[in-house]
Amino acid sequence: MKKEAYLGVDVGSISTKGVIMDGDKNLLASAYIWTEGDPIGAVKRLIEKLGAQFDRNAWQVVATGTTGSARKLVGAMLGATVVKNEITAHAVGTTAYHPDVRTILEIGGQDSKIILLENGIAIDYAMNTLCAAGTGAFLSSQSRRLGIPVEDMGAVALKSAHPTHIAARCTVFAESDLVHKIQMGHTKEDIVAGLCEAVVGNYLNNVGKGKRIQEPIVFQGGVSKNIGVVKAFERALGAPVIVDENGHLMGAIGAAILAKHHDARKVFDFGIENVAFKTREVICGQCPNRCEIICVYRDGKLIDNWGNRCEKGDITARQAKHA
Amino acid sequence: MATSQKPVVGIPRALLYHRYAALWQTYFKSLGVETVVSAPTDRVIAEAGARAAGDEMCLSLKVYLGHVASLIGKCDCIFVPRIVDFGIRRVMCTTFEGLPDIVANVFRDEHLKVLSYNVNVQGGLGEKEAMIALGRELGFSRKAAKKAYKAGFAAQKAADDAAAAKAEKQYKAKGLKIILGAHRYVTEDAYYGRPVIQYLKEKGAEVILADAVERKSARRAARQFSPTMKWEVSREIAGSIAMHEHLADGIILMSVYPCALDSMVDDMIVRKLKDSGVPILTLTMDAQSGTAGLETRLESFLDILTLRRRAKQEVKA
Amino acid sequence: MSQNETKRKVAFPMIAHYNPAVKYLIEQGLGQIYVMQPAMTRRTMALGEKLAPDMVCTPFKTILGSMIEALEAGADTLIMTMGYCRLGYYGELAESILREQGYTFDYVNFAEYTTGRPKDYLKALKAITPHPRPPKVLKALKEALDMVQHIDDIECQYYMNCGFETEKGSFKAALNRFFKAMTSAKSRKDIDRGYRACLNAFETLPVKKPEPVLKVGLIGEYFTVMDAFSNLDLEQALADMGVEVHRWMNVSHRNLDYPGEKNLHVRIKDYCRYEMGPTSTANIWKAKKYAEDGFDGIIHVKSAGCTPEIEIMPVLRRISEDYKIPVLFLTYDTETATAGLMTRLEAFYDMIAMRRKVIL
Repeated sequence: MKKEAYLGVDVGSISTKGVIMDGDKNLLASAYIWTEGDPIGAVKRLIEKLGAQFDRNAWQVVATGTTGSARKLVGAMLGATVVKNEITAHAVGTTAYHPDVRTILEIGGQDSKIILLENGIAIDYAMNTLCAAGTGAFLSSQSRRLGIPVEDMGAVALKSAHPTHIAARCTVFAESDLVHKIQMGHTKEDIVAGLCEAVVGNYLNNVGKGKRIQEPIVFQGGVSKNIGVVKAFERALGAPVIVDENGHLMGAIGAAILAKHHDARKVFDFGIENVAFKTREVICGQCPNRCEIICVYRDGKLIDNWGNRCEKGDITARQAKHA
Repeated sequence: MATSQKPVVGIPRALLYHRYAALWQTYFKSLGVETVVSAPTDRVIAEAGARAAGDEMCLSLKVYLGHVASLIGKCDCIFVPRIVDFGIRRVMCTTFEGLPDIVANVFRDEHLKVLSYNVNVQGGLGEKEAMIALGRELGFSRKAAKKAYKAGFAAQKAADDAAAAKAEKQYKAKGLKIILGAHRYVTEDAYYGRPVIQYLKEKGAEVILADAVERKSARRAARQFSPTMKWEVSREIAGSIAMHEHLADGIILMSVYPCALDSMVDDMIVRKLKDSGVPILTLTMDAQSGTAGLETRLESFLDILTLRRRAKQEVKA
Repeated sequence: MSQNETKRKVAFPMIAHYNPAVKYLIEQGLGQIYVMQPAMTRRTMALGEKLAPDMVCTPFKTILGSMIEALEAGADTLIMTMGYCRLGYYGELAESILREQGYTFDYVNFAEYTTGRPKDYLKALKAITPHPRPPKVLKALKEALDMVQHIDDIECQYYMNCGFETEKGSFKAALNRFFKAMTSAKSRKDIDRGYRACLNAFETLPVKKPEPVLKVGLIGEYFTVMDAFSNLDLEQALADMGVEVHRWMNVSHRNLDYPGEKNLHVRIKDYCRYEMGPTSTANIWKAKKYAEDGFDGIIHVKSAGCTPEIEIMPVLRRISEDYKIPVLFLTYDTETATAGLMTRLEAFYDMIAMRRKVIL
């Protein structure tokens, strides 16, 4: 008899993360790859990587959870038993490793969020309301402009003693300000350190507004890999900030744990590499709402659709009628 | 009379301070109340304001809260008047209606004492009575408070008349005349508005503040211009522009992001003046420290105005 | 002019679900034809967004769009309301934009008649119909206002219960029948019959409510919190998750049965010394009330740049702290995609559901 394992997949705009866990929250397999604008392709590669990492004769994946901005699409693809938003998934994943955590700071590719917890339960949260200013996407675009690889930015920032002040409220303003500062002759180290501070300042003024940030504080998401931003957070908050080595996987871990706690069971077979998944956007012409309905096909067969706002565009109903 | 323990009153140098400085200063001076006015806006104040304020609040309110923060520990109470309206279609932005409570709630943990007076003419509370009540609250006699208000009112009127007279003179100047339509708390702000005026002056332009105007005439002109415009200050600015646009080479409408009033009023001004042919530049300022982007736009606007004037003179000649 | 003069074709911007009441007043009270534009869609938003100033609040854009759709539907007379905030200036700016686009129509902007003299509103009435018969107008007005109260009552009950129906779609069907009845009503009898039928349906339709049930209170900007199109059907989305949705803010409560600024204000004097804006007192009071009544969460709804609502947020944060009740702040702009909203709502639901489990 095979032992039970759980699959968790977190598909964001920039990166795709996946874990396989046993019932005691031990990682059997994990992978982190770039989404590259193709969540379907990314998930196929992810599953291939995960499948190669653990003993399929000893373990069987009995439940699957998906999260992240493409959670629905990927959930349909993988036949997930749980599809959860990334805020809940992150809270659940993080408390599994840090049961006493009070504050989770998270900065990802497009989104940033803050979660406040008490006794392992989320009591308040906020997500960025405005644009992508101060998120991972913002840092990568500025790193290209400066000619510094994004993964080196943290180390570069640490060399600065006088971070340059950069207005980061809006990406457009920040860009023009950055160009201006470069032309004024600020050093790259100071500018990179300034960017890190701007990300933190922007975060605290936006999602962190009015929230009581209490210790222990855990920082995660792609940007938590940037030591410059970590140090800027510690300076701004006057408190230590924990970065978990699995911080980038917390969403996927949370999804796997949620799948375990949920009643639904469905054995996952790793044979999706050769299955053709396709999505198609249908613009419903039944009323001027012109809903953009996303249809997901598995080997040419419609398995799911969403985005429809009224009964006029109910595709499954219409198909049922034709059948 | 309360002379034993008069409080030191802190006045933020922001928002309506720039409209009522003479009134407030003279009033408190006449009562013998010590005041401390915060320093002109600088980066530290602007950033403190952004931290304290809600992200979606307008830049001028953020700046104001920065000034409040800078006064903490330097005074016994903060002076935050509440000014709702001066009558029908003479209302202020709702920010001035909520300001005392915004300040009290944002700085609740600081246990700030907020000192206020409440003007709400449609609700039966005029400025004079409101400021007399304020004096009473501070422990002065009605007579003393009335006297202080009278002195303050006279000082403010003198300052406003002088500003209007100066502007009228400016309209007759020879140089490139630009009407700057903006709230006084934007044009007078040392960190955001002043540098723009400074830049234009350096380039040789005559910058005339639209709201430096005889207010009654301006309100009347605004009525013709846009009958349901109901904001006191917007009417002064729009009315003044309607009265003077034929005397100017160009108009700059400058506002802060996101100004509720200007979001509609500026659009209306541009619409109504479309046929007049006078060039209009609209500028919106965000919590941005550099003025690099602004300079480019200002410079090209000045170029256009100069070329237009030259072309006009050639036609005449 | 003869008695057989051609009737006006009158329209009013789409505002939540109140247009049937406006129709009733125009047709039964003023004897004119009412033109009902189609319900708002993405096209409405796109039309308004294209012509409106960029940074104006979102309701202006939808209202402008729905005025255009009314003109397309054949209206020759547009009516516009007054208002305490920027809404009071909507009318004039919208007219200026529409005229510039070449539309021809007669315009009755109530903001123009807001002079402090109630008599001047009679002038507005005469602009719609030259010879109004006051008793007839007053009777129709009374009935139209009753209809408004019925609409609000039905909507309140709908969102409190539809999430627990056992026959999927049964509540929605009853609600749709109700709106159809209100739209076609020609007398008080019609109004009362439609109202009673819907009440009756709501009482008899089977529901299964868990005990205790999760309760969420909605507060916020007058227009966006009431208008399902503008808030992306927020109430329905919450109800579908199995939440009892409460929203006090509506025309009946705010305008017809308003307890009065002074009466409400005493109840929030710990938070505010003064009234902070047109709907601020009611929103702050209601937030405090929801908290005191043991609700699981509060959602604050506004359109981007709505100054009065932005400025009460510090107060709402204090209430959230004092009563330990989560408040979700939602800002709507012209975005009509729902993905971002659903992520936030689902997380909010998970949070309050888990809190409830722990507390019990």
